[in-house]
Amino acid sequence: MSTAHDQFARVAHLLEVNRPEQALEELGRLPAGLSTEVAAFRLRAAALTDLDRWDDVVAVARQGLAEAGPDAELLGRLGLALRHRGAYADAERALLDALARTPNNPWLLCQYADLCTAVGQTDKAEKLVARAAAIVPDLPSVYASRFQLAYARGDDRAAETVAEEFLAAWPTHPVALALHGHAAALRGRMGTAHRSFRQAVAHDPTDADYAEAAWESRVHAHPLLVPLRPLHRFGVFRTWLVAVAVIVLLNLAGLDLLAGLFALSWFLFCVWSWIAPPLVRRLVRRRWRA
Amino acid sequence: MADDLFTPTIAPPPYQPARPPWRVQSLLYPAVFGGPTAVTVLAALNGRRLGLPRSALLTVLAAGLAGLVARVGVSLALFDADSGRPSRLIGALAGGLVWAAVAAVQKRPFRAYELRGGEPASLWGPGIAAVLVCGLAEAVLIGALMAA
Repeated sequence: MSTAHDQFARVAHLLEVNRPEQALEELGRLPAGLSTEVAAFRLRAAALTDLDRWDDVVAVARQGLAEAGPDAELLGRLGLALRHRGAYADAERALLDALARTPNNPWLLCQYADLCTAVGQTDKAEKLVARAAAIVPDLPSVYASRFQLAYARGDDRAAETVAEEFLAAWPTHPVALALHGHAAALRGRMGTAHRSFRQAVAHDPTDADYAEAAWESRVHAHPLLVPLRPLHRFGVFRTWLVAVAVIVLLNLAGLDLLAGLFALSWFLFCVWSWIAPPLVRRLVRRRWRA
Repeated sequence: MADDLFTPTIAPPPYQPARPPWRVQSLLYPAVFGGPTAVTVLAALNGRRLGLPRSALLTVLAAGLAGLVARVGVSLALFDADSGRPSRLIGALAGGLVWAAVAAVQKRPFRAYELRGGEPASLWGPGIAAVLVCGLAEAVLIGALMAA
């Protein structure tokens, strides 16, 4: 029995250090008796979750539920995977079945909150996150759910605050670093964004999303896009309103030539902001492939 | 445990919109270059792609109509037929304000769409088409009204 415990503990450790593929190999080597235990299904579903293999998570969770009986964690994994596959009503049923068994599980509460956020039910999501936060305030899932909620509400400032709190509580957590990067990018701080994404990749090199985000923030650091930084920092609409106000004021002051020149350069800047990012993206990609 | 939070509230959607929506932030560009009509047409289509209710569509159409009336009214009141530039600026301003109304209605649903893992559609073709067609139509309308 102790060897079984050791084997499961080894797999759990592999998952902790972000080696889901090795964890799956390890699970594949389990003897027949152990591989149908609920712990094996839980670990397999967790590893597949880390790899974003949602169809396989659904299959493993369903098989585990069929063989080992109802289990809150497997139901939670099933709900999470069904959400990623776009089956929101089925995902809700799985998560509610899980919460019926363990209503005070903060991870499950966060999963349900994320689902509600994704379908636009932000008020319900807020109550669910608040309940999870009352149980374990500094759980990574709680921070991640609070971030998604703020983002879905369009409140970039609140999202940035949550990301900073998350990073302060978990300075090397890859999700904390990635969300910090996203928040910085939303607020136009491209240098900070790139640093955070790069650190996220360093702590979890297997995640394709972090690599993509790090690459994207690298594009924004391209010299051709430097003129656009104030635009991102200050917000497109606000910058534009200020520019129009300047043109109108120059016109009213009778400085027609100056107003014309300013308007022309502003127009070129607008066109540049539209054309340059896709252009640079293509340039950088071609250089990487060459 | 009787709990309101644990009662199901998510129904399967009656249908899936066939085409992905455009990024709401990107609609600002056709708004500025094309004017209120261009952004209204694109935003109305985008609302359908996001699966928004009729009230959201009506808000967009009302804002678009107000923007168009304001543009034409201000252009006629302030400028004679001497130059096109200030009139274009008024058009950009009206378009920008309509975009602000559109963003207020569509930003949250678009972000929920992103959180569901959705990718936005490219606005290049439709954006340029809307700028050319709707921008030209508005210019012709204002020109005709000035001449009348």
